Amino acid sequence: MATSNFTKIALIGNPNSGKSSLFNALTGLRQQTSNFPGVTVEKKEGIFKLDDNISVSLLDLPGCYSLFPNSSDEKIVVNILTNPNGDFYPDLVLYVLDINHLERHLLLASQIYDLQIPMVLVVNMIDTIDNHEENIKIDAIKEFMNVDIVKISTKTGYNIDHLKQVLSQNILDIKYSTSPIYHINSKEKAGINAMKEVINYDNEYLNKIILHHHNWLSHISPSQKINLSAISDISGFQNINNQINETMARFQSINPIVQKTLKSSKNYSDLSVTDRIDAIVTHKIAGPIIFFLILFFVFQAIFSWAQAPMEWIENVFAYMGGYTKYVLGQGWIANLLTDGILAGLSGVLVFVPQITLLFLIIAILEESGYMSRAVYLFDGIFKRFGMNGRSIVALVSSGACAVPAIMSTRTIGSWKERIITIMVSPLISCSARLPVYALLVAFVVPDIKVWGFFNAQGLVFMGLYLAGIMMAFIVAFILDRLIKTEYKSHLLIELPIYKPPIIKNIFYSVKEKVWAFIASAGKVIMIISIVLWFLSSFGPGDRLEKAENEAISFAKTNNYSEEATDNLVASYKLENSFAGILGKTIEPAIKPLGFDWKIGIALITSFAAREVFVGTMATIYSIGSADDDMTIREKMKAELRPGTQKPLYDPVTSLSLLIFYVFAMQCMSTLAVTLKETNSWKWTLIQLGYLTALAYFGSLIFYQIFS
Amino acid sequence: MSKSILDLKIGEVGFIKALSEEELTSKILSLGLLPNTRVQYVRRAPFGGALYIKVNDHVIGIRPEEAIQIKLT
Repeated sequence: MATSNFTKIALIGNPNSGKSSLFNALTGLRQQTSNFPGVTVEKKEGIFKLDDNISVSLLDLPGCYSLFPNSSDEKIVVNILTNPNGDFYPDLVLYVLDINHLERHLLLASQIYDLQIPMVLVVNMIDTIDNHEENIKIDAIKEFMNVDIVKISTKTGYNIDHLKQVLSQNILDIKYSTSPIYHINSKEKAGINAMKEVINYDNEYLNKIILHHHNWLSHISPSQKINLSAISDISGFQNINNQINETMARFQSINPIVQKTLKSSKNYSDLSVTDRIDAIVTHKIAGPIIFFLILFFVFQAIFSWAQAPMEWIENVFAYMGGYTKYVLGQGWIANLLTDGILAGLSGVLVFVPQITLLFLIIAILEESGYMSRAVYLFDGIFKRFGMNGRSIVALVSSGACAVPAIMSTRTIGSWKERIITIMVSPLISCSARLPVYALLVAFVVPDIKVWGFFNAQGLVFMGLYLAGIMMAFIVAFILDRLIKTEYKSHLLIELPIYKPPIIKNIFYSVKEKVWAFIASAGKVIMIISIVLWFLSSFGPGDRLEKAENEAISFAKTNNYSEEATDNLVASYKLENSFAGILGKTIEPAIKPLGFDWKIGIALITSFAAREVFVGTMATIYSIGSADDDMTIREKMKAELRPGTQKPLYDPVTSLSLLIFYVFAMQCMSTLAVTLKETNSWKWTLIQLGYLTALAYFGSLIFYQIFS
Repeated sequence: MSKSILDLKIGEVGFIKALSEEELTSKILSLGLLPNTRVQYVRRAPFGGALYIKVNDHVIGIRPEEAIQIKLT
């Protein structure tokens, strides 16, 4: 989508102002999400038609409170608005505010107005006001800021078409503000005059903001930074007092406008329903209980409802694989297509139902306003572990997939709290571990009931999840002690009034996250599964051919059926492939954990994605396909520890392997997203290193004690 | 030491006098916690967690470390 020829409109507003709803209402399906170059802040862009002649591109900027930002999300807004030569600098700002929070939401609007960026002001949530024609006098705002103002409701769709007309008028006849709302004081003026040789825009307020924030603005060059630092040190420009003075001055001029705009000084937003819900939902004792009940319901729903679609996806791919082999025969191209590409694709898509469901529920919880209550409730605990209440969103998301979970940490303002959350997210058991748990748990305990009603295998399952969660807190606790930072962390969160979620918003939010999984996790899983296909299909020299002949003659002497022969060949080939050789090479290292070289192969192949373990087991134990869990299980059950008459998969070895899978960082996609989000090889390698060490030594200690 | 939001009892109402000058002050201001604003301390999250406070027309969750910066009359 080339956006350069279109008029660029930036959508700006405070969090919870209905900005995303307006974005979805205007752009619909013609929107796409990417990142701003160089930073991991989400960039949502869409193109839409104002009328038959004019199409515009709309850029949805992150929610922001003022031009004095605290998180990386907010900083991008300041970066864009202070760089008139930048690619994203808007021709027009579409500013959204919530009529119920007029005073607060006018703060940022007044700052942008003073930057002299043409603006159209949208007064949203008009549906919450009775008789708004009478009770909301927007002329008062117009006296304050000479811009076009449109009352809308993103909930009912009121006036959206009129807004489009106003936008097209403003594009044809661009209006710049003339008289500033905030008057630069003499001290500021001195600073601005001093910086003239470094940077000098016509707009004084723009110069002030640049001088104030220069040390982190991305469009200011290092040499400019040095010069600006010297100036701001002399004029005391960067101190907090400057921010406070400006903000206070602005609120002083905003306050009378609000009085004039709202007919009565009555409290407009109706808190009574929210009050009553919060009395229970945020209660000291009932609150956490309700949260865990919701969580229990969520995971229950995911595991039972996602089952059927997951099976369909697997069946479709199994059918496609069979058909491809039937058409193309047995050559290596057919194998690459079926065992490499189709298997990889299936391995990605099979998780889509679970991930969609989880993100659907999370989106509903977020849209309705509940999620910020969970943040409020758990901040006290997370704080003690160097994290933030906001970490709860990431940790719950990790139950589906760590990739979108790690992306969701962007709302955490403190770098340290964010890094710790990212580091421990992979410890929460994700959906890719489930097939592995499901296969192995049967070797740990039989399918029986404990104390009459608890399923023993279910209890082991829960234990594995809890082990991951507990380890996440232990690691966070240690990291909290190790990471030193001069920046103070904080929690200041708006708890918006409860409102019924808007389906459109939920749809786009879920679509975005599922797409993030498919695009980033999917790509990596695909590539690695092709590499693994190569490693397990080829071997050095003529080793594979020899192994194949050996298997065929063995099958002949033992009168194997055609199918059994094929399976035996596959298993002999795998043993002699590069993957098999690697498995045997690492055997000495994993023997103290109770594993043999066959498990070694599976550990290697599941490095890209954990669930590959099951498929590899099926190949190793010469079962044609991985569809039949029971057959793999029976074969594994019959497997003896080399040199003994004891089963290899006894409870201790199986549990040792499970412990390995709880902790191990067997997910290339997570590492890739950690690298992207932290922009640091150091933290990516720390994550890989500590999780591998936890897995290895966890299994080692467990096995050595109990075997 | 002057009185801050942290000194309010549950359910009690106070009026903001001033904010101490800290890194977060402008953020606190932009959330509507301005001088002369009415604040009510409604409840506290478990385990020494955040404070649930009502400011004019909306609700904010705030850590005790930040609440102590907000001085009351």
